[in-house]
Amino acid sequence: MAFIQELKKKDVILVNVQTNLFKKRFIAAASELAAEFGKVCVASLEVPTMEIAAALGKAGNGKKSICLIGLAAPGKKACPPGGTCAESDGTIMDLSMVLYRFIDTTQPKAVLFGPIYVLGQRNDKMEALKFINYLADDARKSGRKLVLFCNCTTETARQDCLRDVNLFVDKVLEEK
Amino acid sequence: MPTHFRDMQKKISDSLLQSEVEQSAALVTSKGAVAVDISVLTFLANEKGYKGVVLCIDRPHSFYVKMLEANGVSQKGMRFINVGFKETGENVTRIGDNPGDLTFIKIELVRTAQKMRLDEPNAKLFVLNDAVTTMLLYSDERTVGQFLHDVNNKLRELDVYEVNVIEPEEKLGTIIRKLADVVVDMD
Repeated sequence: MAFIQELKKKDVILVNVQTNLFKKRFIAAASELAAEFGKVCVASLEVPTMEIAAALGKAGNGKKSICLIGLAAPGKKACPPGGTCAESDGTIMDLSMVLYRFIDTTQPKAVLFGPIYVLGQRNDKMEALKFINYLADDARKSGRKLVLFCNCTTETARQDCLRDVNLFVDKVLEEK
Repeated sequence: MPTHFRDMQKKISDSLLQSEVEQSAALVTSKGAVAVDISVLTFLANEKGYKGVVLCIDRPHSFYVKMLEANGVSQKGMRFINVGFKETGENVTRIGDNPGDLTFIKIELVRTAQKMRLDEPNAKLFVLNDAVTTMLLYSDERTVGQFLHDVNNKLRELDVYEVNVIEPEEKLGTIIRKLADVVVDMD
């Protein structure tokens, strides 16, 4: 994917993909980031972490170099057995605690996060934007790559998302 | 040492950390936060061996450093979060431009406390916030109240002792008193 090339020049990237392609692209992005950067952290707010772990395993990425964060759902386990994984309820406070527990202890070289619209569903929109702003600032300060994924279902939502999040990222990529 | 300062220290050592389940305190004063700050920092750091995080909103971290030095309080293991101040330092994190950036503040505050907890799982840790009134200049009561509730919840999860220093007529006094396990009238 083109974003890997962009990440060589920029620290924070927003990738916008069509909803029907999101899952496939997000899993592929996790795999490519792991191959390029080694240690990565994947915060998946929609794609089950089990599927990401399976895909990364198939691609030969060691479990030790990947940390996964999944959203907690009633009656469903968010984490695959083995490896490093944690659940979050999706609120900013909880998500930031879980994410930074991994970041501050394992020092990943890159973070993949998405889809970002879920943040707005579970939190106040302004707070969600400030969280993304914090993630982006912190990634730049720490020399860590940040890849945000967006899969808005309507054109209006897409425009809103791009307009708001555009302020905090170094580059927006549209993947058709 | 002035008498009122000694009185404050005695009140603090007679009132705080009286039970093992106590995790949060509200110290109420009408005579300014600085004397209460130094009293509680002396008690926690020197007498009880706590390390902690000081949220610097009304005064920069250099003020606290000088105040701690002047009073013989150990800064070892202490971290400062400067909000809006440009000073930097080894044990200082600088965030935001103003105290209205509550999302930034709570993420950084909890992150710092969590980092200290991960570094030392058995350490005795605290967070000190004396700037609720100032936060209310930049954000409405509901937003600041939610901030205090969020932070209180997460610090409890991390087993970090939270101290809020407030004025008697503080607009959010009711919720702060409710969240605190012990309330001490410092006047």
